[in-house]
This record gives sequence, C-alpha cells and structure tokens, in this order.
Amino acid sequence: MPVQISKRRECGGTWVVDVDLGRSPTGEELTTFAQRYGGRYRQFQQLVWLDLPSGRITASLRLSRLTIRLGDKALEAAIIAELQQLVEASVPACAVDL
Amino acid sequence: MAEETSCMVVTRQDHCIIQVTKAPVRRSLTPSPQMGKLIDQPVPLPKGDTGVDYDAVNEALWGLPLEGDVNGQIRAFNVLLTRMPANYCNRIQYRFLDELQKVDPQLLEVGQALIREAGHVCVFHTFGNIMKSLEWETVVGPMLNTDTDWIHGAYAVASSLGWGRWQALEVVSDEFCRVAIDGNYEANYFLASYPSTAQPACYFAQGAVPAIMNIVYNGRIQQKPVLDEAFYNRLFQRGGVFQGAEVKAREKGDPWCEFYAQRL
Repeated sequence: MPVQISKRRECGGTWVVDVDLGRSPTGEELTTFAQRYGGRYRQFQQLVWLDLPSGRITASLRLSRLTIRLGDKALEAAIIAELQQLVEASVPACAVDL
Repeated sequence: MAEETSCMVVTRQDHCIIQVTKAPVRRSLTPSPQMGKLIDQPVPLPKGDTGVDYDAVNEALWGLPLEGDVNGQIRAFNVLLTRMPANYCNRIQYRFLDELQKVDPQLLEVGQALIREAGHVCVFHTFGNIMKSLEWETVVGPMLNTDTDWIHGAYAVASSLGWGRWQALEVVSDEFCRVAIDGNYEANYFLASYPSTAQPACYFAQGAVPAIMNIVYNGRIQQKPVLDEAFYNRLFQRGGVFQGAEVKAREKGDPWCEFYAQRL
C-alpha cells in the first residue's frame, strides 16, 4: 500500500510534508532511521523527534502520520522513498491453505 | 532613535526601511515593572465537566524539548513559537494605548478593539494549527470524547505556554463558555504599571477566549480545514461568530480574571 503524502503550508510560510504510513511506526524503526541519516532520536511519552542535520521529523508511536520539516529536498525525497519501502516490507504476506 | 521611513504595509513592497540615528538629547526611559505583580499563590478554580486532565497535559508539554532548530526557529505543534519576555510584549501593547489616548481619547477604544482582534487572529491560527498537529493528537487526542473537550484541551495547552493558568469553568456546546485565567500575564503587567481601574484591561485575552470557541464551533477544526486568510475572512464576514467579554478582572480587584464568550 503506498504511503499517503500531503504538503501543507505551515506558520511562517514553510512548506512541510505529512506522510501517512497506514500504521504507526515503532520506536525501533524510527531509531534505525535516525541512525541511518546521522540524526538524533528523542522520545517524550509517545512523541518522537528525529533531529537530522537538515531539519526535523516529528512522529508518534500511536499515530500513522509523520511530519517532515527538512531543508534538503533531495533528502526529503529519499526519506519518503525509504518510508514507502518500510511500509511495503511490513505488509504481511497472505497465504491460503487449500 | 529609530524612524520608519517606508512601511511594506503601506507601500506593498517586500521590505520596510527603518533609519536609526543618535538621539540629539538624552531620553528618559519608562521604569521597568520587573516581573509585574504576580499572584501570591494559585487560586483553587472549579474544574469543568471534562475528561481532559489539565495537569497531565501541562506536565507533558512542559517536558517537551522546545528549543530552536538549526535555523534558530522553534517549530512545534504545527506553528512557529517564540520565547518572548511577557513584559516586552505588554509594554508595546499598553504603550500603544497610552500613545493613542494622548493623540485623542476617543482613539482608545479603537486601540483596545485592535488588540482584541490581534488576540483573536493570533489564537485562532495558533490553536487551530495546534489542534491539527501530531503533538495535539498524541498528547491531548486520547482525552477528547466530546466537542467541549476540544475547548478544554485548548485551555490545558494554553496553560503550558507561560500566559498564566487558563481553565474553562463551563462550556456549553455551541452556545457559550466561561474561562478563568489565574495569573494572566497582561494583569501582572497592568497591576505593576497603572493605578487600579474600574474597567477590565486584559484585551488580548478578551479576543483569545472567543477565538477558541470560533475555532471549534465555526471553524469546525475537527474536520481539519486549511487555515488561511481566505478561510478566516470567509468565516468572520458572516454572522453568528462568538464574541467575548472580561467579566472579572484582577486589575479591578477580583481574585482572578474571568471571560465569557457567546454567539453574537
């Protein structure tokens, strides 16, 4: 299932990207993500911040939505592509016993 | 001294021009009110009928890491936050009124109405965006069962922002609300800077309280509308909007400030 992407103009005129994964991410997935992109993982209750060199990703362990605020558009595209792979990889395979 | 010789609001260009020169004579400065007149201790306010746990929201939000990003900007709750000394903001607000009164006392009411509108616009957009944010959905969302809970949730968040302790005392869906502010930052400044008054003077909060009702019951924020200028203008150029009044005020001797908002 493809992730749902929507762009939103935020206070101050900045454009941000909301990504709906279709399921909430796990802490392990977000930690791995932060490490891969040289960022820092911080968690407060169920809120998670990934502080990357070019901006911040805000996520929740109980919601399927992430908000991406990055100054680097190429990195933003790469992260969205990776999120798509993450979701596809976690879709359970269906098998039918006949 | 500074003089603005060109203003983008008037010229419609993308910049203002402010010329700074050395003042020819020494200027006297208005003494600082320091911290203002703070409350001695929190007053026990009656709890409204809601599932929103104000204390839990406060505790959660006070713990959030709200520091600047690589650009020095504090981006959280879908908005751009600013850490500003309350009395810097107050000084500008109340001196604006003082200066208008010097020019013509009839302008005072115009100035007060402008600050109320500033409070309304600010809170409408700020809390509208907060209510659409991931932080809101994660921290406050699990406590929201009814539309009146959205009003309480907003005041729980407001209490975490350093403006004083905001508490909705009574909310009747789509009709009215009564809200108390204990230790409102406007009253802190006013009480330290002016003699006692018969008229309530928390003008920003007078605009803020109806704004929260307007977000929920006119803006239908639960449906996540796009909060742009066109939406705001469309919403408030028709009738049925909520308006507010300050019915108790520390600045006139009451133990806390209290506001009422109802439909026009």
